[in-house]
Amino acid sequence: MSRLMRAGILMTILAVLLAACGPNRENGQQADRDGDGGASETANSPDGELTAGGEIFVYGMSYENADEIATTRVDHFTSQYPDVSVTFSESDFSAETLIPALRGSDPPDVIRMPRNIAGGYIQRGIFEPLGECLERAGVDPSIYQPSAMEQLTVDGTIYGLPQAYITRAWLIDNSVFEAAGLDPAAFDWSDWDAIRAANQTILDAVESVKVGIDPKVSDPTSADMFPLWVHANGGELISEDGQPRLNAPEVVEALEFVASMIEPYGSHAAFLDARGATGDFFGAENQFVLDTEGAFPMQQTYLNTLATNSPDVEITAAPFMTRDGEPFTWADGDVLGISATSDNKDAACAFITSVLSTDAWVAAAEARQQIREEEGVPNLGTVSGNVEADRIIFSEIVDLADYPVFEAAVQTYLDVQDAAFVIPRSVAAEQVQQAWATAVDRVLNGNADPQAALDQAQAEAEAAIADAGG
Amino acid sequence: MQAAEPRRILRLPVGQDRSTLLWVALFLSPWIIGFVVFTAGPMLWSLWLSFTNYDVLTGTGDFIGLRNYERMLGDRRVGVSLWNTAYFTLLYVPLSVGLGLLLASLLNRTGGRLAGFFRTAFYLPNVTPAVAVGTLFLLLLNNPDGLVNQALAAIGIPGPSWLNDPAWIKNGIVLMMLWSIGGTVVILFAALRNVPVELYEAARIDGASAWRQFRHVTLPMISGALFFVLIINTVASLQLFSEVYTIFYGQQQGQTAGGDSALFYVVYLFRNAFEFFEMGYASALAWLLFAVIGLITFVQFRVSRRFVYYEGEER
Repeated sequence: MSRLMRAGILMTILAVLLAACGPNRENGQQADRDGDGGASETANSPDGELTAGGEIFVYGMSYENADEIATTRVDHFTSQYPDVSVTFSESDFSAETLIPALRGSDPPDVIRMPRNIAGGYIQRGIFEPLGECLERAGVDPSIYQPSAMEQLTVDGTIYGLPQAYITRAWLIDNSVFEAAGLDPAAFDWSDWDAIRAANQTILDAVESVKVGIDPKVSDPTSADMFPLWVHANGGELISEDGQPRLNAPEVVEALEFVASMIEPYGSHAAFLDARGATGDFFGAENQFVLDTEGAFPMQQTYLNTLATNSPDVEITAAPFMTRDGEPFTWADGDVLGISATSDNKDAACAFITSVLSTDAWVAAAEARQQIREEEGVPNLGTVSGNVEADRIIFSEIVDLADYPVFEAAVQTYLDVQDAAFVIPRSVAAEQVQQAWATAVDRVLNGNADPQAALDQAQAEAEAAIADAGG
Repeated sequence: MQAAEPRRILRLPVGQDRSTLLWVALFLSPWIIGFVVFTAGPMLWSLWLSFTNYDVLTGTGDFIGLRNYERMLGDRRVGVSLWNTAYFTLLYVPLSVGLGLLLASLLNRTGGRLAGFFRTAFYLPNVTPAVAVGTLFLLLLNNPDGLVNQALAAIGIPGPSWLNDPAWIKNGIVLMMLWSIGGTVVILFAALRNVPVELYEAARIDGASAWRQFRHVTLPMISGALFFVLIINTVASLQLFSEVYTIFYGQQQGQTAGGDSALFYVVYLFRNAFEFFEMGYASALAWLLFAVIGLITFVQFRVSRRFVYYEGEER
C-alpha cells in the first residue's frame, strides 16, 4: 500500500469521525405539531404553489426557550405546513458552532445570523438564492425593509429575508438633564461641541451621576455605536462596494471626538468602572431609575426592557443627528436564509417565508399584546423588518395612550426609520469590524493616536478582504 | 575469522513470540488507534493545511507555500498575542509553583482529618469547568463591586480595574488562574510525603536549621516533581484559552474593552480558525506555537540536568 493510499485512508477515517461530531440535534426541540416525527409526504400550498413536507433543521433559532414573538411565528408555520417537522438548534448564531453544523452529516436547512456579517457567508456560497423560493411561495420581497434587503441582495439575486429591523436613537434621562440645566426635548444632538460640554456639565452638576453622556463606543462590537458617529460626521466604515474606509478623515475625526468624551473620567478604565456602577442595566434598578447616567444612544429593543422593568421611568428619545442637523439611524437585525447544503429546500423555503410573513408577525404582535396586558405593562411592539406587518402592528395593535413617555419614544424610533443606513455587505465583515473596534479601543486606552490606529485598522481590513477574495 | 554468534538470546520461543506480540498489539491497539486518529493524523493534516488557504466554511483551499508563515511575520496581533502569553507565563508559572509548594508544605504539616479536607478544598477548583471559572471571576474581579476589590478596600487599598484597565487585565487573569493550582499542590504534596524522614533526622542531628533542611533535603528530593509541574504549567500557560475566551471574548463580543490586552495566542488562533474561517493561517499559527513550546521544553530539559535529582541516579 502506497503512502498516499495510507494517508487517504487515514483522512477518510478522520472525515468520518469529524462528521460524527455534527450538530447535536437530539438536544434540539421539535416543533412537530402533528407528532408524526416528520412525515415524508408533502402537503399545503398556502399562498403560492409551494408544497413542503419532511424534516428541517433550523440553525441559530430557539423554540423551547424563545419568547412569544418567536414561538407564535413558528406555530404559524406549523399550522400552515403541518407535514413539516422542525428541529431547532436552540442556540444563537456563533461562527464556531455553525462550522460543525455545516460540515456535519446532517447540515442545517435554515440558517439565522446577523445581517451585518451575512455578506461573507453569501460570498462563500453558504446561502441558497431565493428567487425561485419567493416566486413559488408567492412572496413579494418589496414588503421587507429595502435597506435590509440591500444587505442580502447580490447582483439582483436575493439570498435571505430580514428578521427584525433594529434602529438606534438617543435615550435621555429627563431628571439628570434638567438638574444640569439642559432641556432634554430641545437639546441639539447635531452640535458635537454642545454634546461634549453637556457631558462635562452633567458630571459637574449632578451628584448622583456616574456617567454624563456615553458615546457607547466601549461595548462589545455587536452593540458598539461607533458607526453612528462616523455616519453623523459624513463618513462610512465600509463603502457601498464593500471596501473599508477606516482611515478616512471623517472617521478619524469621529474617533477623536468620542475619545474626548471619555477624557473627563481620566482613563477608559475609569470610565468603564464608572459605567459599571450606574445600576442594573437590564433590571428595575437601572440608570434611569437611579439617575446615574445622562444619555446614551441605544437600540429600540431596549425600550421593551425599560417598559417591563420600570414603566414609570421619565425618559426622552431623540434621533441621532448628522452634524448638518439631519436625523438618521443605523439599522441592523438578522437574516433567515436557506442553507445551500439543505436537502429539503422546499420546506426550508416554506419556513422562512412563513415565519417572516405579515400574518406571522401580526399574530406574534397580538400574542405579545395579550401577554403585556395580563402583566399590566406597556407593549411597545416589535419592528419586524416586514414593512407591511410593522404598519399593522404599530397602527392597530400597539396602544400606548396610557404611557405617553414610551409612546413618544417609540414614535421617535419609527419616525427615523426611513432615514436608516445599514453597513454595506463585506466579504470579511467580521475582520473589518474587529479592525475598527480594535482601533477605537487602542485610542480610548491611550495606546495610539486616532490616525495611526485607523491607518493600522485600514491595513488589516484591506488584508482581510484580500484574503477572503474580495 | 570467527563466525558471528546467533542472537538467540534476544528471541523468545517461536510460539510464545507470536502470541506475545499479538497480545501486546491487542492491548496497545486502542491507544495506537487513538493516537493515530486523534493526534498524529490531525497534526499531519494541520501541517498540510498550514501551507494552504483552506477555508473551513466551504472546505476549499489551494496550496500557497509559505505564505501563511510569511503573513505571521507582518501580523501585529501575532506579536501582541505572543507578548500577552509570554507575560502571563512568566508571571503565572513561578507564582503557581511557589504558591503550590507553600500550600503543599502547609498540607504536609497538617495532620488528621483536616489534611483530607484541605486537600479536597485545594483541588476543588480544578474540577470546576473553565467556563464557570471565567464567569465566576468576571464577578469577583469587577471594579468596584467585585469581592476582590472589596477585600482590598477593606484594608485600605484601592483595587485596580482588573477587567477594563489594559495594564491590569493580564494580572487579573494570573490571579484567576492561581485559584486553580490544586493540581500542582497535590503533585508537590505527594512528592513531599515521599521524602524519607531519615534524611531530616540526619540533618537535624548535624544541626541543620529548618531552612537548610528545606534547601538541602526537601528541594533536591522533590526536584523531579518540581520540574514536572514546571513543564506542565508552562505548557498549560502557553495554551491558555477557555477562561480568557469566556471572560473577554464570549457572547460574540469579539473584542474586549481593554483592546488586545487579553488576546492570548490560542485565542487569536481560535478566532482565525473558527470566526474568520482561515484554517490555513490558524494551522500555521498552531505550528508556531508547537515550535515555541517544543523549544521552551527542550531548554527546560537541558537546564534541568543541573538541578533535577531523580532517586537512584548517580550524580
